Amino acid sequence: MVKHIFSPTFFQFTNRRIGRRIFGKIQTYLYVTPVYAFIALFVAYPVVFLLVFSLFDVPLNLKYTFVGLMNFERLSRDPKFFKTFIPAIVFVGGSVAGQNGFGFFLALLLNRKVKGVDFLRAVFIMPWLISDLILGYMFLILFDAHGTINEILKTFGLQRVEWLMNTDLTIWIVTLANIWKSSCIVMAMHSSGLQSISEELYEAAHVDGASLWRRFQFITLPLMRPFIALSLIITTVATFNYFGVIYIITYGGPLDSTTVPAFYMYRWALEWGQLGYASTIGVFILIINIIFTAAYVKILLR
Amino acid sequence: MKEEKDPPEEGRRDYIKAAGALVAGLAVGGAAGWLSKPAAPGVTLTETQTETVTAAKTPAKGSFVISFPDGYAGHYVHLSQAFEILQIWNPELTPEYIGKTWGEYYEWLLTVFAAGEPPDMPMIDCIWIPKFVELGYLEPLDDYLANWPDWANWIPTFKEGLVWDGHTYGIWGNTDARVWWYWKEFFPDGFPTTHEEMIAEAERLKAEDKPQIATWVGAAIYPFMCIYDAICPEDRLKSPGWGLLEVRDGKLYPIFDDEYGVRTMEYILEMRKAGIEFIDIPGFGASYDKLFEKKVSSLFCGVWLSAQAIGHGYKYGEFETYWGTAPWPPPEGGRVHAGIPGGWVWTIPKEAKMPKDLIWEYIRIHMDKNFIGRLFAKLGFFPTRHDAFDVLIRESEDPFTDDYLSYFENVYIRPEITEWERVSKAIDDAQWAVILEQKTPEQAVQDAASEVATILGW
Repeated sequence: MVKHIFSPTFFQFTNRRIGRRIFGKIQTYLYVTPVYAFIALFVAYPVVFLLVFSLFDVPLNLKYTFVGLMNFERLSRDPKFFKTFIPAIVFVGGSVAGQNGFGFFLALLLNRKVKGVDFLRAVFIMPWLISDLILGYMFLILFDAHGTINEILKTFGLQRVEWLMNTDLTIWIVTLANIWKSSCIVMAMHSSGLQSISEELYEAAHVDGASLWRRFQFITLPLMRPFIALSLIITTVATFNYFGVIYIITYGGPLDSTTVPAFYMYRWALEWGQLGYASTIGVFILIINIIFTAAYVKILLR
Repeated sequence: MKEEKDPPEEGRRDYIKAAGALVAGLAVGGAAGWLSKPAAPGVTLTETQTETVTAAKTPAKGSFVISFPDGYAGHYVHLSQAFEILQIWNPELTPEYIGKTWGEYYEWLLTVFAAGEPPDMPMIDCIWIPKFVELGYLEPLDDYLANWPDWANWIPTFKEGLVWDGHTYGIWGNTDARVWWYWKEFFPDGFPTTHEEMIAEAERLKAEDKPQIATWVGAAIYPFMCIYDAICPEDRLKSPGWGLLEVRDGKLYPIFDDEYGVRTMEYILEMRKAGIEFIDIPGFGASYDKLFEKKVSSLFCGVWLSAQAIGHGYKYGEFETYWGTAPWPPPEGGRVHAGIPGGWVWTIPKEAKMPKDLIWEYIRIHMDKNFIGRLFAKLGFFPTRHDAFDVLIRESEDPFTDDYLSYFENVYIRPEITEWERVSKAIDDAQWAVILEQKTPEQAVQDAASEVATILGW
């Protein structure tokens, strides 16, 4: 029925030529309408909702009161919020560097036409399939005061380390867990990029006497730039918004040493029941994510 | 050449086959159902329950939704037995039990309450009462309680724990006491009875390279409250501030940054230096294994450790061969008590779909002293009404039940205030700052009190 209405035949009763012209003009918009509708519903609406919520005092029963910019003023005076950026720098920086470095390295290793490479790709993607809960408990078992690593240390006659009670170490442990979990998805992204580079380019460079490093430097890296940019954007934004392993392994402790902005926002929203203030933190996180994304796009895709 | 079947005819055959299978299935299923049908509910009514049932008025129909955290899944048996009694007068009423893991339960409840679709009878953590009341979710039970003679049997401390803004909003489903479990082999002279003895024992275990004493930190802000309640003047340990806060200008104000708070932190620091292990919230679950695998010689948590031992394959009859239990050893001159217990509370939501009188009837039925006495004998928790203790002791196979109840005589409840979660976090952080030697005891309690004052709106 839809096809019938919007097809040129619909306009036959007036003027076939005018009908075609009008349809020609609107059909482009008709084709992209579903995409815009999707973006409006699932991207624009939540963002607008977040911005609106940040201007209200919203308890958990959603009976809100308009407070203007008071939540922002309160956030500017919240030292605990600003302290969350110290672990966030380690968590996001370490995770992005680790995931991209290790993921790219794995992708390079597996970018060969050898037997069993598809099987290895499938094996390496498995950490991504493990739930945060199981991953968290794995790391708890490893790093507990009586855990596997301390047992190994003990067999070598070394002192036990209280890994999860050290405010300097814990953030690195959750970062390691995040790297372990998500490097494989970066590997998958980079693998598809590497496979799009023509073999002929490498062969020609090889004939011209280019070394392995030179081929990597002048063929692989430049052609992989869009993939690297995309991967950096995705991992940065995803890590900045993520606290799954933190929730399980440390619950933000000890002494907030692993409380990152997203986890702080979660606690304000659901634990301490102030959705308006949590939304204000969410706006701040959104702005930072936009800045990160814009910077990557500008630097890597210029 | 293969003969082609007429498609419509083939379709008719399929219908006939399906109908035949349906009839056969119904016949077999019906016969099996008839054979397996219980002759009668087999419920013996106690005096209270009989009164309750006979008080029932118009029969209700539909689905009666009951929710609880999975950790208390044993309640299911109890709830379903009680529901059978409710069904005597409401035969068309069907129960719907919703169990959620502890982690997801809170968020799930908030979501369904906010959506205006709460369960008819949710079990909530006692510390959520002020928050849920402030959000306008819970029905006050004052009128029901005023006409319920059994209410006189409830332990006063626990009654106070249900009051917010002058009204009572729930009935304790269960509670616990916090105790030490220790391996007898590591404590040949028994578990220390004072803080000073505990320090000496920890130093001995460290010197002998034996498994250490271990305690949870956090949750109900212990060990701070265990020591603080033991040394704080007793007249301060009353509602609403329970020694931590006092009413000033009509508002609560932190007072734990005094000599008792500082001394408490000093005792905690002594424990740390003696080698006692402190376990943070993410490690709580794994701590049971540590105890049963003898990685630690003793563990301070809740009386539910008995159920954990059963889960690890031990039998009640073996308990006393291996373990002993003890209350928190107070500093010299301090008083013995059972810390500040937690517990879960049955409530009636304002937006419950079922008639509130019916929900109250149901709460009354399964709060019967015999019912909960028998239930907790199996689950390892405590009722909060005195007159159920005898039943619990009689029915329980746990050899430590008497001990638990003797520690339980002196319990102090948590302040029931909206901001409790943030207040307790501030005190937890102070404990950790002392344990990790990042702050002095004085500095830690002063910083925590200052933060709590801000949280309370000062």
